[in-house]
Formats: sequence, structure tokens, C-alpha cells
Amino acid sequence: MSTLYAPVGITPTKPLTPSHLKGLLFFDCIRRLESLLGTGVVWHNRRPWDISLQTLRFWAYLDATAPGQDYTLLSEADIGLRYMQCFQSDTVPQQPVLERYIQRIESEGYVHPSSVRVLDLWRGVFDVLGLDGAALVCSEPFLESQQGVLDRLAGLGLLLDQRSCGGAVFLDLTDQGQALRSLVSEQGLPNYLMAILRDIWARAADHTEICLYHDIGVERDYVLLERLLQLSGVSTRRIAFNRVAVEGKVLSARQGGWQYFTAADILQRVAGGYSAPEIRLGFLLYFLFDDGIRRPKNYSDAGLAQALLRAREILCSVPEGGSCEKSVLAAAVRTRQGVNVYGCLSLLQQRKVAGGLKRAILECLL
Amino acid sequence: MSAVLNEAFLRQRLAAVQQAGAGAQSTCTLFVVLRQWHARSYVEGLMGFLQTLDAVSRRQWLANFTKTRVLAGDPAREAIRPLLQYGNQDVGFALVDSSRRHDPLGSLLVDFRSTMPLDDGMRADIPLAGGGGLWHLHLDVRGLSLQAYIVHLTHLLAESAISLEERMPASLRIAHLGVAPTPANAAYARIEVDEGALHCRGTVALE
Repeated sequence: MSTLYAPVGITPTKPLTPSHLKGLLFFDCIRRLESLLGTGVVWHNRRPWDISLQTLRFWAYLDATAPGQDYTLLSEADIGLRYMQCFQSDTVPQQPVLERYIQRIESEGYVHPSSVRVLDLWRGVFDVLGLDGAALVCSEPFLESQQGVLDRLAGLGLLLDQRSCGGAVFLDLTDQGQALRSLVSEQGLPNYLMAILRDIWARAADHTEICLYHDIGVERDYVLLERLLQLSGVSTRRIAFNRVAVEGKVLSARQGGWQYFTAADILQRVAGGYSAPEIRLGFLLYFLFDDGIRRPKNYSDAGLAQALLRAREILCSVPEGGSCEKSVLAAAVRTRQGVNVYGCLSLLQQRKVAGGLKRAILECLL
Repeated sequence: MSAVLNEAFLRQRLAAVQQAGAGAQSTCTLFVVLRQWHARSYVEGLMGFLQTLDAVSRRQWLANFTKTRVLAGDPAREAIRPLLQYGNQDVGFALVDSSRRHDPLGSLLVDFRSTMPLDDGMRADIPLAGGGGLWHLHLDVRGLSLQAYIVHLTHLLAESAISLEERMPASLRIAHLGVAPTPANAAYARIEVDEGALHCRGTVALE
């Protein structure tokens, strides 16, 4: 059995926020724990997100408003502020402008210098937290053409194509009770759903199942993807994560609210003096355990600091060596459809749980 | 049934529109579900739909001149077909009580949008199954998107058929114009009010 993991990407146009951290850490834990149950391949292709309209709009905005800008010295916040300004402005690039970017991304994997800078800055956070850096660098051509995807949809009877009368192209799952969803606008521009389909649909054929992973904000689109893949014969499951509230609000980065709460800011402010394993475990405990079910109203430095202290205590209290068999750990975390990350982190914090099991958990997660 | 298309006629039409809803017990919205735009198929579907309307629905329609929503969708889908009152493979129609806050058609489908330009010199004859004569439909297409054009076409034909209480025509002759239509024998006109000035968007004349 082989699982293709297809996590949602983060557009490299803004700072990493607590919500991003939670998403990245949760996926990383799922992947590590599920590796105990079977084989899997993680497909981190940034290209669908680079080619998304929100990224293109930002790149076009930067090139129009600050041509020749040197981005190598700008901070995440500098670029994030420009991102907010872009979406506060009413200027939407003309279609030929967007098409030029699309062509460069498709043909040469183009990345705008502002996003190169953002990815470079994110790398520091990824390294400290032990996250998979492939998410930052992988940009591979799509396996399938747009027309290939449309032909497949037509073959399944799930396409509404109104291009002949100047209209859009839709994924039509109305018979499944799902709302009609555009894939290509009436201006001829494909959206990110089309890019995802071009990227993963054909790739899924090499695996026994596909696991879609996304934040709750795009759940409607991912429900559509799940249904479509299932209807096409691909065994599909879907895992969603909730975003983290900051100062009482769950905002998109384009709306702001991240100032003072970027991942880099948090690490610098709260995690000083801790070792790399303590930081990683502390962040796991905070974002995936404390924020998982207890759901604090807001992200808080104090809460994270307490989690870091707990992580230090756990790492000190669990003896080196003597970890239990992987099969024992697998049995402890397995659920009907995958693994229980929350339960796994709970085991680490229970006194009665054997040291061997705790050691195995730490070896798996850290 | 004929009238000279002058200021007095336009004012009379405007007054009729403004008073049309006075006796209506409820309001309604016409949902048009469009898979593909084919003028002939559309007109056939619309005329067929109008023939299914009873007297109550006709009165309701006249009380709701401006409430037409054109949605992109496939009227033949199992989930859509039962929600329509009439349709063919390209288009379907449903007259729905506007007080329903969550209409399933509006939830499942999205507004139809098109970038297709309209030809202001287009002429087309569409044979229909009705037993009446020939209707001439003149429509000023300046500045219209296809979706707005469909709304005007729908209202012109529907309100002509309902208010004139004529038999369905045997044929329809459509002419796109780049100016406001001014046929002397217009029986029905679609009026737009722009900053107080009356503008004729389209007319139907009977022959």
C-alpha cells in the first residue's frame, strides 16, 4: 500500500503565521506516524501555488509599482506589507500580464525575487522546527495539460464548458450535491483547482490512495477534489486543520494581523534558550495538543512558553534508549482512517505510559 | 395593439411597469439555467416555458419585471432538472418565490458570465411552434454583455406574450441594433431610465 500525500501549499508572498506553523507541524506529524503503518510519498509541489491568481496578482503588483526593487534585503514583514497593499488596491492586472507570468512559471519554473527572498527567510524557521524543506524548493512541471484534465472531466460527465459562448469552464458535481465550481474563468484564466488537478490527478494513479491535506479555509474546494478523485476511481481521504486565532481573529495574511506574530518573531521571542528538540516538541504540544481540542481563544506567548517547559520536562524524564517496537507504537496511534496525533501527544504527557512507548514516540516525532 | 413609439408611449409603458406589482400577493424570481447559448434553443425553451404558466404566475411575472437571474448550469442534471418547470438540453426555467431565502438553484449554481461580444448587425429568424404571426424583436445591444442581453430578451418576449395576451408567434425575427429601436408599430417596449431620461432598449412589434 502506498499513499500519495498532497498537502496544500503556502504561497511565498507573506510571513509565516501561527496558522501556517500549525498546518506544517500537523502534516509533518501525520506523515511521520503514518510511515509506521505503510509506505507513502509526499508530493510538495509549489508550482500550483506559484501559478495561483493571488500569487500572480501580487507579483504583477510588485513589478508594476516597484520595478527593479532589490528584495534581498527586505524582511518578511516588508514583503507582507506590500502583499496587504496589493490586495487593498483595486488594481487587477490585465490578462496578458498574468499570462506572461503563467507562461514563465510553466516553462521555466519562474519564481519572483520577492518570493525567492520569502522562501529563503522561511528556510530558517523550517530548519529550527525540523520541517521538510522540500516544501520550499520543489517546483516541478505539471504532469497533465489543462486540456487533458478537461477531457478527463468530460469523459466522466463532470464538465460544464461554456467557452463557446464566452463563458467559464466548471467542475460540475451538482449531482453529488456540490455547488458548481469554476476551473477556468470566462477570461480564460485557470485557477488553482485546475493547477492542482494538473499536478496530482495523473500522479495518483501510481499509488493506492491519495491523502489531501488542507486548511479549513479551502475546505469546500477540497471536498470537491475528494469527490472528483473518488469518482474517477482514486481512493481518497482528506484531512483538514483549523487556523489559529491571533488577538481574537482568524485572518488571512492579506488582511494583516500577523505583525509581531510571525513564526520568526515567535521563535525569537519565546524559544530562546531551548534546544532544537525542545523547541520542536514544545511547538507540537502547543499547536497540536493545547490548540487541538482545548482551543485557546488566541495564540499566546505564555501558552507556548508553558508548552516549551513541558517539552523540556518530557525530554528529561524519558530515558534514553529502550524504545518499544514500532508495531506497538503503530497500534497505539492507529485509527480507522489514519493516526491520532492528539492521542499520541497525550501519551507523552501521561505518567502511567511506559517509558519505552514514550521513547518510541519521541524518536518518531523528533 | 400597436402604438407609436414616442415619449408618451414610453411614459405609458413606464407607468404600467410601476403599477404592475400593486396587486401581487408575493414576489418571484425567474431562474434561467443556461448550459449553452443558442438563440433558437433559448427562445424555443422560453416560449415553451411561458405556455406552462397559469394566470396566477402570469400576474406574478408582471409584478417582477426586473428579477431574472441567469445561472450557469446543466438543466439536464438529475439534481437540477426537478427544480425546473421547463427546459431543454440547453436551457431551463423556474419561477421561484423570492421569499425563499435559500433556493437550491441559487445554492448549487453560479451566475452566468460571458465575455462574448454581441454583433450589433445580427439578424436572425427563429421558427416557432406557435400559431400566431411574425414577431419582430429589435434590441439595442450597445454596452450589453451576453448575460444582460439574455435578461432583456427574456423580459421582452415574456412580457409581450403575457401582457399582450397574443397567441405564440409562428416565427420570431430578431434584429440587433447599435441604436435605440424606434419602430412605429411597436406593441411592447422595454424601457430603461437613465438619470431621469427614458431610453428604449428593445421593442416587439407584431405582424
